[in-house]
Amino acid sequence: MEIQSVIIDETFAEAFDMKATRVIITAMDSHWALQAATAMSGFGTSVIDCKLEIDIERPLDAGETPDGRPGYSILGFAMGGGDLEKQIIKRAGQCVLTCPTTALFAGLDDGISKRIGLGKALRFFGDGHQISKWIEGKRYWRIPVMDGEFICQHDAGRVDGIGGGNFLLVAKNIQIASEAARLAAETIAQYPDVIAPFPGGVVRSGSKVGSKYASLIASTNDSYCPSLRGLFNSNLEYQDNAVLELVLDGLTFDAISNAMKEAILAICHRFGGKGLLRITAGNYGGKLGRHHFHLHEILAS
Amino acid sequence: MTAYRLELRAPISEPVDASEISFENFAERSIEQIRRMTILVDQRQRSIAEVFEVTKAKSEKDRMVVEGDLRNVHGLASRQSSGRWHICGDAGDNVAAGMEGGELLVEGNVGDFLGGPLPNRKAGMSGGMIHVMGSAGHYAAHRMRRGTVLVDEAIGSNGGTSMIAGTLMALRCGQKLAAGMRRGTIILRTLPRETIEASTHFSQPHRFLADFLRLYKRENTARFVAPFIGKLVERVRADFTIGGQGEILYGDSS
Repeated sequence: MEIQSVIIDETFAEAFDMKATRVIITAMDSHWALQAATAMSGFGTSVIDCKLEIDIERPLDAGETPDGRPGYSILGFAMGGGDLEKQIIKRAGQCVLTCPTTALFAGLDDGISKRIGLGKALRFFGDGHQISKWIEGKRYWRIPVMDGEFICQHDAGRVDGIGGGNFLLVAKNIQIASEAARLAAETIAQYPDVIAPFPGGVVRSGSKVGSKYASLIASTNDSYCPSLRGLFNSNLEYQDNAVLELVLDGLTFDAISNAMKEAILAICHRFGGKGLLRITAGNYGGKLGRHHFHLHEILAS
Repeated sequence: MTAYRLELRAPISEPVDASEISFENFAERSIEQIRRMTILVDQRQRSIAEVFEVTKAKSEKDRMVVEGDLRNVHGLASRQSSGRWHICGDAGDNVAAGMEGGELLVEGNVGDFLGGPLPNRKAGMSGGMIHVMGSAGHYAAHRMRRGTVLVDEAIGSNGGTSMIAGTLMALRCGQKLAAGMRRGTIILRTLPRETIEASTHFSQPHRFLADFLRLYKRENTARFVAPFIGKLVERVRADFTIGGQGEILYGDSS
């Protein structure tokens, strides 16, 4: 398959079951909401060492939030529900509670039985002066702070999600790879229910499972490192001089699949024949993750 | 789901205890069985059909509509736990006593002890939403444990006494507001300054940005709290004499 002279490898991305949640941060204006959202989603690129993959999903207008103030929705993914709750609470406490004028709400709520604590855990900061308030069937905590009250919903829904959807773009130089990757990330950011948690949505240090060092569980993806061509079997040809990877986590298979498709199409149309050479994807032979995103199927849909 | 309609056959001057009229008591009964059920009228057993014309029909949601001059009918919507009650007219005392859930709309005034406790119970209403489009008598939200009460006009004296939690909203109030209040929120459009100044039950007033009011989205409560949104409002804590941590938010204090 080729799209605008870009070769699409007949391969698939292998992704994994994860636990996910969405929270909504609001504030008196977008400035403070973004500060809190940025802080909360920092150091959240990979569960390998960050324990959580988390990013801003999209900005929210005042009309879209529970309290009618501007805000951001955040998606978080972890390998287990316990990890997810622990990390979300830590980040909410250190990055949202601390930020001026913010409030924190569930972004996944009605009808979801599995929950992670939000205000349920943070309320104790109020030192006994916190106020529980049931409003229209939902429970909130009002925690006294120096700028007034931090309003925090009691808990948020937790659902099954998918982590590790991916594609690699192979380009003739880093300039093209960078521009294409940025366009891909911008395209993904337009779609709901999905995030690309690495810096700017892009990974330069794609990894493989295992290492010559016993203590490392992952190491550089040598078959896609341009500087290692000639040492062993490489997946790169002479003209393939830079590779960048987009990794996607999403609430559903379709959300990831759709975002991948739109991102790949966007970069093929913009950079095909201009230095973007090939699109491929990473997998482990299909043996580790049960979600397989076949590039040809996605793009043909 | 079922919709019941009870229309008072004629104005009644004797006190009627309507606390047995409920979804739970009517469920599984035919219309004839419901009509033969008894209620107390001036402490004497009479059939419901003698007092009300009763009909029932299938409905998407459980509904109880009671119509007429119900000023001497007491205990309507007692122990309501779900569904929607609609009282068309003025009602007597103890409306929604022990309410646990669901919604109640009163198109009229109600008597004393709106949302109060059932006999021999410590706590008052523990859930649900009450909207009285007129006034309420004394002891509105007495010992309220949870839920929301909105009174479009005034509440009488002793509003929110011994309140444990929940939210009471009203245009204005009578004397002895929030005596014994432990926690919970009372929101008044107006509260005379002398009510605050004369009482040792309240803290010194302070100004407060009540952002949590933005969370009220239902048309009736959102409309009531709209004047308080985004502005510093007056606030006192109550009841200080018992170490309470309730709050009273109010607008014009002139």
